[in-house]
Amino acid sequence: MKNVFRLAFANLRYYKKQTAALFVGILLSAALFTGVGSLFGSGKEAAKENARAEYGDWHYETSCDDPWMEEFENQPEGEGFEVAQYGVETVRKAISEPFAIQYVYGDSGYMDMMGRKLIEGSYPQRQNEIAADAQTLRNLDVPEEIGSTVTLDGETFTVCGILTEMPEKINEIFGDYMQVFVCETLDYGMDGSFVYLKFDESRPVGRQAEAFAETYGADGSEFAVNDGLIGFVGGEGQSISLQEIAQALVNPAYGIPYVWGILNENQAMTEGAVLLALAIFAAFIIYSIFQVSVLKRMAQYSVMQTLGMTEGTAFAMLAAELLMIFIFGYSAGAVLGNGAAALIYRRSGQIFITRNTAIHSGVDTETNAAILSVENLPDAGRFCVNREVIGLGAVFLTAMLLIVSFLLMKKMQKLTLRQMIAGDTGKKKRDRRIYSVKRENLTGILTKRFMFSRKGTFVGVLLSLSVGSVIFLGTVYVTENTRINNELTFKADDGLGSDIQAYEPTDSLKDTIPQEAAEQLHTISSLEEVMPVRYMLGEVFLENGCFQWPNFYTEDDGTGSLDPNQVMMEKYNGRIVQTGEDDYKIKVNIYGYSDAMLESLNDYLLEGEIDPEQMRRENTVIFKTLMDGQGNYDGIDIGTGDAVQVKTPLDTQAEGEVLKFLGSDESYREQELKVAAVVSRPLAKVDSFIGDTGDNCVDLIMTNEQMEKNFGITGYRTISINVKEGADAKAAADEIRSTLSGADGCIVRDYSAQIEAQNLYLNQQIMFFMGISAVLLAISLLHIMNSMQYLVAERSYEFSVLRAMGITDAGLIKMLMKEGLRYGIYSSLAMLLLYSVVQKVLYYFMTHVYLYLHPQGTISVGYVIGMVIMNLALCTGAMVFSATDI
Amino acid sequence: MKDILQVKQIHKIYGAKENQVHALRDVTFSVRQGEFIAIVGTSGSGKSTLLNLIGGLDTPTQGQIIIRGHNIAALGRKELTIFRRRNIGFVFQNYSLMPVLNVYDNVALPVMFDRGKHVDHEYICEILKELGIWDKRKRFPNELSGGQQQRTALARALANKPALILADEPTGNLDSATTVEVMGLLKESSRRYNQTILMVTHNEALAQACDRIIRIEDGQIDYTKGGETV
Repeated sequence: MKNVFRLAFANLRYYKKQTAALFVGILLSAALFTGVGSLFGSGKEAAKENARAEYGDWHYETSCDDPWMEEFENQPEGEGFEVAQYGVETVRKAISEPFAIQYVYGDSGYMDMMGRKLIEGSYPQRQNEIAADAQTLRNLDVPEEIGSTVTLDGETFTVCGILTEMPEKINEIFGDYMQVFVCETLDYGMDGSFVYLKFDESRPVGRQAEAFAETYGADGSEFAVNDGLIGFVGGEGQSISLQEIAQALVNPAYGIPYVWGILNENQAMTEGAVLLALAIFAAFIIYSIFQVSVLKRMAQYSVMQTLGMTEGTAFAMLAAELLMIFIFGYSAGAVLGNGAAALIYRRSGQIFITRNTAIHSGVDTETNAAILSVENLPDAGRFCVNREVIGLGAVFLTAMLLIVSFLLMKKMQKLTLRQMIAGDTGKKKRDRRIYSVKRENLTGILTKRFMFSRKGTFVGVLLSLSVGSVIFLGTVYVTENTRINNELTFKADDGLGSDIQAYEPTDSLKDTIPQEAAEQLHTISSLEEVMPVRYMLGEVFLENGCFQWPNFYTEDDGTGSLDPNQVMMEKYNGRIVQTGEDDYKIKVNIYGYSDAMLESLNDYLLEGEIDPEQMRRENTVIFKTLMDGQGNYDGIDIGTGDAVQVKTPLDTQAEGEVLKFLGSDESYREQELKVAAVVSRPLAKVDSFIGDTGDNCVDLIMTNEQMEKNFGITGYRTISINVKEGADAKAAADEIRSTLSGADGCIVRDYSAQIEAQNLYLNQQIMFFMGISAVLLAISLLHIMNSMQYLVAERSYEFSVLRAMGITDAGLIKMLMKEGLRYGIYSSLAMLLLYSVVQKVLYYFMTHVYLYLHPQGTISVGYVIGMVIMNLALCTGAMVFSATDI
Repeated sequence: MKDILQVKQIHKIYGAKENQVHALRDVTFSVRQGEFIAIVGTSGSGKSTLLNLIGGLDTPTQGQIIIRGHNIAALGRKELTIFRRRNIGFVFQNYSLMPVLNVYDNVALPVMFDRGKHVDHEYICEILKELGIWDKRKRFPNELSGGQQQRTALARALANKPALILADEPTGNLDSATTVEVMGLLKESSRRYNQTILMVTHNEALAQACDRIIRIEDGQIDYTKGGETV
């Protein structure tokens, strides 16, 4: 074995160029793989720590008034689980007035897990003392001072301590309530005790919880789960069996999006797929470069085999060569990749933080704006080197290297055998035409014959040349569509298409911004665009099977398992009402847009044409249809040219029962409006009536003039405003506020900071994608250069014979250029072929799994042309460059 | 008869300083049109180096090689290439045929480098027939026996009607029967086409079949063993 390593090392030292190419290939691949792995890992770690702060540092909670609790406290260890920490919360009393408040005593474990630290004062020692957080005291209208008094349920308490706030999102799990902490001895005889468990996070906590429940005989089904944190520590997310996966895949209602959605908790599948793709790419590059290196030395290996080297030794020698480079290349790559990743993470770590919560929830203004602001982008925390990915990558690639060595060893055998067979039989069908009779130059034939003489090698070379370009194009395609999707959702779903918005936040049709006031806005010099929106609530008839997703709304999901939104039911009689077997009436938002806004709506066009002039002339409307969870828009069979029956209140200021559309016919008008276009999203939504997240409501969109003509509406519900380049948005907002001061309740909000923040975020994301693409491209370039050099080196003897035969330097270079050009053309064709398949897969995932808005079916031609030119130039250039060695 | 090749005081030194190897020292001889000459010597004596210098595959450190009145040591790279393809044919020990071309195209290849479509196909047919490989013209090198491959290589060397054919151990890879056959063909070609042939060999018996023998030992023509003998 020592000799094997010695020989392998001698080979590495002698073939410096190949060693360097392999080293750089491994280095870059490892850097990319481990760097991206650490970025994902750091993002996940940050998301986990953020979740710990937001939901509390616990995994499960359950009532512990049962006898098993004593057993647990006496013996907190058992097989299959390890409790890292636990805390007990004893609820002494719960009141509902003035708010839902619980009187709680928490032991030190509970207080620690919930992050409830004492800011001031002390924990309650006496029965008339409480400690609470500042928010609770503010809500109770109590001064945030020690010694203040508060009366709760007839009892007066003195504030003895002020605590830090309760975990921000714990209410998502336990509902809305506040806590006041009382002393241990206060007892109303109505205690309820709850234990909060935190298991060892180095192994899946879900299985530990099961073992825990089994050990103590606790009812595991009663455990409350910390949904925010559990997904990061191997808790019981949604699980799916192989059989269920198989069933889902053949059911069009579920399909890949459903399976992916379940498996992709915390983006695990997405990140796993990216890392796997990078690892396979790395393995492929290593194989390809090493193959070149080995094939160049094939003669030597065959000599060594002749001298008695066994297949096992040949394998060991190949593996030893690869492993020696791999150890150094991978280590250096991991250092380089993580170093670069640390820098990237420091600058734009937020883009890597897993976001399970959709931020696109419509322009419900303040809350959303806060979520979208830079300060509220999650804390990226510190960069963590992802040892798991580094380790897994090393194991995976080592296994791949061994397979590569084995394959090459087999190839060596096969080649010898094949050559023997070819020499003996000569039965292979070959093109035996004599070309010199009809041609004046044989170099073209020579290059063609050289290329196709070993079809397997030829296909292999083409594949290896094209794979880098395909990955690059795929990344660019996804990046481009991510950018488009971000911009479109940003404008539509997040409602951040304009710098400033003025709007009426109420759910009363009465409240509008008067037309005259809105027109005054045009006098403000710092404003670029003022786009007012009129609004009306309506009902559209979907009859004769026109509505094809009867289970889309909870009001009519067919299972009765989901409760309809109570507020929606009470105020509007639900979003949809079934009136016959195949007949429905659906509530719709009816918007009147300015022409500029209608122009912008072209980005969301599914079919038809948006022409405001024609809409005014023919009184046609734009139909905003529904989108399901798989990105389909075919739920309503209404298209361009169809007419929709619309019912609207006669009174533009209608209220109460009228808005349920249950009143007498005299209260409403019905009219038929022809659809000019169908779009996927509205812009400038009004969600204070039946809501509008962009994809869950049907909207009818027309011009503002049509709103007045059809429904008599003159006031505006929202006005989207853009300020001039360089103008002070804050000052403009103040001016707008003052101009609209006459409009009751009108709120003016400046979103320019949020827009800037989100643009920054999106740009960083795109830059990251582009960076990855660039590294992939660099690796591919190295690989192409190497492959071309091999192709020349492999035939260096033939070339020297050709030289002896009298081919000139120029003739040889011309011949090689032709060959390079041919490789460029063929590899470009292979690239296009492979890429068309990859693009289809990516398109499917973007459309139906990631629900991208209007992804482009094809990548910009410029990129493809660029890659083809690059392929041609590189293959030709590399060939010519290699010719200098002959 | 005029000299077609003149080798004048050729020296060839490889390496530098202590690694210097004097491969050829003061080698001088001339060859007349139509001569079939054997260059004989032991392994490492310098005979292949001499052949490479005459073929323009390498340049002498000192001296002149004049072929058809041209000092090839004074030619530029491109001129030398053109001169070589028009005036010198090669026959190698390992045949050195293009594995991807059939027999006919292999033979036509050097002519096409020079004259494009003006290839004398009749002449190629003639030499293929003469060398007994016409019926193998559509075969590929790996479908031929060693003797057939060497005949193809010889046909290729003849195809351009060169001033000189340089054959480096042309029978080195062949069995004795085929060796005799190939030697016969070389001799016949020399006679029939008045072709000058310089053949390097270490086989004394083969050398005896040639018109003249040049013996080389330690980089010099060995006159003690007769130097040049006819």
